[in-house]
Amino acid sequence: MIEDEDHIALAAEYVLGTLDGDERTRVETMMNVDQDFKALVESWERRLGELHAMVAAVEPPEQVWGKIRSAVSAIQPSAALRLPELSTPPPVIPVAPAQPIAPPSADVIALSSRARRWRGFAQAVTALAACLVALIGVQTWRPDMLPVAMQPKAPAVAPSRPLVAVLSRDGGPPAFVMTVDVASKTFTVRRAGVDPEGNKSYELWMVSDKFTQPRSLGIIGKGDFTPKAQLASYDRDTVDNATYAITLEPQGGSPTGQPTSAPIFAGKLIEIMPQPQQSQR
Amino acid sequence: MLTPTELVWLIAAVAKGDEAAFERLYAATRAKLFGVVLRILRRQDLAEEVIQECYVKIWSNAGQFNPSLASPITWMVSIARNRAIDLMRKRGELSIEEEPEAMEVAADNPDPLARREMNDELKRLLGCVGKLEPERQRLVLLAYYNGWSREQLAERFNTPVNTVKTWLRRSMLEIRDCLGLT
Repeated sequence: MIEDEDHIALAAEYVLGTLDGDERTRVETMMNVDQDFKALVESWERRLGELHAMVAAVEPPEQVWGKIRSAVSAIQPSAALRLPELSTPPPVIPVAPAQPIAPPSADVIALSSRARRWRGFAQAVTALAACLVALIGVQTWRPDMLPVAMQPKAPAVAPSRPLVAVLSRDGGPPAFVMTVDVASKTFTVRRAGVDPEGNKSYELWMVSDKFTQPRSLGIIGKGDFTPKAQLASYDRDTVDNATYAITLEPQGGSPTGQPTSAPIFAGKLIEIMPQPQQSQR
Repeated sequence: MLTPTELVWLIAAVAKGDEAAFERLYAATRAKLFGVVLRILRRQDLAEEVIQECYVKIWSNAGQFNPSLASPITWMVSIARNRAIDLMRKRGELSIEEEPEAMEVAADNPDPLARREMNDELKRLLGCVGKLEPERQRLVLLAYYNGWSREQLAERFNTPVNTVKTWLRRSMLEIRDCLGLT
């Protein structure tokens, strides 16, 4: 990302704290996909953070520590993210052997952090997704139950064991719905309420802590449904746990193979129902 | 307060799951962090809630702290402020007029006793803030210390939000130029 004044000021205002909730979420999303922007925010945190020295210290009540201690007793600090001994700054962060990522590098740290943030971001849409699941389930198995306008306009997705991701902005209304057929590793992206992209293209990305960079799953077509097969080369675990994100790219997709903008919509896959025994009619 | 080096050492130990180190880290930093979030939230119950979440996050994320990129206390303060500000924004804006004590807080100068703690970085930063027009100095410091949104600042300064937005942007870019940030 080019560090223009807009980005510098955005990072500064994020740290200063003057952005509204949506803008803060957007900045956090940008930090997840753009290491340069993240570094920019962190440099402001370092500079402005010195102002804390002039805030009067106030002792918290004693019972606070008890609550913190019981909360953390259930949480192991992330084993993969170990700080080196102090004698060797600047640090090279070692990676625990269990972590299958190589080579060990600062990227690992960034990725874990990124994945965690993406997960948080995706959790925000889960509640919404739950509502949509019912609708999609009905569309898949009982389209006749729906008003004509809500019935799928394309052949129903093969219901071997579908997973669905609702891609939305900050937990807002769904923009795209991605349905994955696990057996065939094909997926369909359905437009669900998104502005036309004009002379640009929406591009779908897969973000996983198993990759060092987001992986493109291709351009979303202009029609209501875009069927794709790009998941074929990924294993099940990766597919299940990835975050799926949409960016707006130049027409035909990102020229670099990497997102050129922050994700606009994102979500994670969830199962929409158990094996569909009840689907016969 | 422990020295930065001692705090870095404690955070490194916390990253390895050392609960005794975590307790020492808490003891050394709790009053500062609580002061920061209480000033933003101005409600004891909310500040307690945020401080709990904040230390749980510090416990979980200690391994991500990078001493070559951040000082330990600014790292922890950032976590605390971000939590507090997110909560403020989620709760929706309160008009500063609905909160009379907010005006008093706004009139407060930052704690003068703590000036002994000033390090060179802080002196440089304050030097740069001091070069802004007086009203914009207050704008930036109120935003930082009280966690106010542009809307709340607009109300406090009796100025349209867009003007506040422009002031903030220019002020931050001026501070950056003054500090020589790249």
